[in-house]
Amino acid sequence: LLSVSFVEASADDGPGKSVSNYYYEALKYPCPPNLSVWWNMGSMLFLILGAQILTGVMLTMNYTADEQLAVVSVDYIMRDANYGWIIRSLHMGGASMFFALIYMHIARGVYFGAYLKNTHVWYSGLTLYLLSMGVGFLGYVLPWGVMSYWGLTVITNMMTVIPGGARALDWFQGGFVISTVTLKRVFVLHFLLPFVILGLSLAHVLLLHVNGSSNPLGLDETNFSVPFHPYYSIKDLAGFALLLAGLVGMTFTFASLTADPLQWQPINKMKTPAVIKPEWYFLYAYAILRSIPHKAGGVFTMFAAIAGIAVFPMISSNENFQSMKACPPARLMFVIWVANFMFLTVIGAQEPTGGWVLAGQFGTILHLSALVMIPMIKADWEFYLFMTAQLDEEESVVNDVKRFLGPRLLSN
Amino acid sequence: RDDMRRETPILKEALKRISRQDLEARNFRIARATVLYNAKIELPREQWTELDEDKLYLTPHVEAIKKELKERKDFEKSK
Repeated sequence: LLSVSFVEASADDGPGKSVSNYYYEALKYPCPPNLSVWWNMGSMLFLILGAQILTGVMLTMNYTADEQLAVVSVDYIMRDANYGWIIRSLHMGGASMFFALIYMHIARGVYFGAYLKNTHVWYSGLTLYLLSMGVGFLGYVLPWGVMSYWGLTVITNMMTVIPGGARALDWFQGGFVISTVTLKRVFVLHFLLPFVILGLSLAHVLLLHVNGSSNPLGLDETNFSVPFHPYYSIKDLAGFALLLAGLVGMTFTFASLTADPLQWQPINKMKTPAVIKPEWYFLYAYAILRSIPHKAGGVFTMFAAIAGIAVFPMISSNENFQSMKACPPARLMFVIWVANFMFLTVIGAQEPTGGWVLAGQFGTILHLSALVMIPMIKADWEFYLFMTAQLDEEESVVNDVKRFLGPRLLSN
Repeated sequence: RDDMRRETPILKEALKRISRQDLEARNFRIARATVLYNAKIELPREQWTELDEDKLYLTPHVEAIKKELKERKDFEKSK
């Protein structure tokens, strides 16, 4: 990019931009001067996506999507293909890192109010998350281990809760049962969807460039900006170095850290395993799915929990403050929400018996209510802060609390 | 508190209506906050603005603009 010769924009330039405009857009884009490490997640996700596509293409060259040959081909990759074990381990570890980064990226967005400044970016990001979940699930099916088959059985049977779902299930499976035909189409989808994700990621960044990034303090920093290069290009490179170090370290030391031992057992379609569970990044949704005793209720609650972050822009449009920096009660609710997310992840890995069922139900209610309560608490606190200014006399603590709670109670 | 308002079209319009003195003071406080945040330095206690000393220089303009927009909308509806 630095060696490209600049062409001045002229009146003859139609809707397309000149080269100098692309240079400006990419390298000299004005950014807030105080972006913290939480703003590295986006670029790191881009890097991991590229790594996954690269390693995935290499795995594709040796993988066979057939019931009888899938395990053999994966075994060939791991044992015989030159450095195949590295490529596969990178791909496995990369998937875990991808989702860890996504969750941190979303948490950053909630905490710093990114959904307020860039609503379209928020919704495109949610779409990316849903697509990524699909791709991750499809990829887990490909090794054709015990968890692959039974995980596919559990998730595809969720289709039956909608009217006509049974026919749709047969259509997806390519027959009345899961077979080689199903595996082939899962493989095709797992190959194609990452490129859709790549295109949508570029759109996600372009949409971000309409309004620009938010910042940790949530202040209006329109007049104080620094160019992306060299400040944040260097910072992103540092993030890349740490990320690659983590990924490579994981690949060469704990490659199967998140893998289920049952994946190495041959499939027995007549014997359901005692515990069916997905990879760690889906466990919170799995816990929510299992906490509702009704099948359709569980499926809809799970999707509501996954896509629930879509409500943030809808119920927050009147908020004055961007970040939670000035809102201690909302910060507390946020921490509870994150801790509950981790709690649900642990619950999802347990057998659904005894106290774990009640814990899952409690976690589900807390997760769903936090999605609504966080913006509401933030709005209430702001209202309290601005209303306090209108009072002249000294008030006691009791009156302070009454004033905080008062407007909502009075309006009811 | 008015320094922490997020950037919206209403805020941009309100910023055009405040005095130059208020605007420059606001810019100074925001720049100071940014620099201190980057350096991980906390503002000394004696320089903190107490709640009762905090003059809301933007809120009256924001409320006025919201009222104007509402009036315009009602007028367009009644046409």
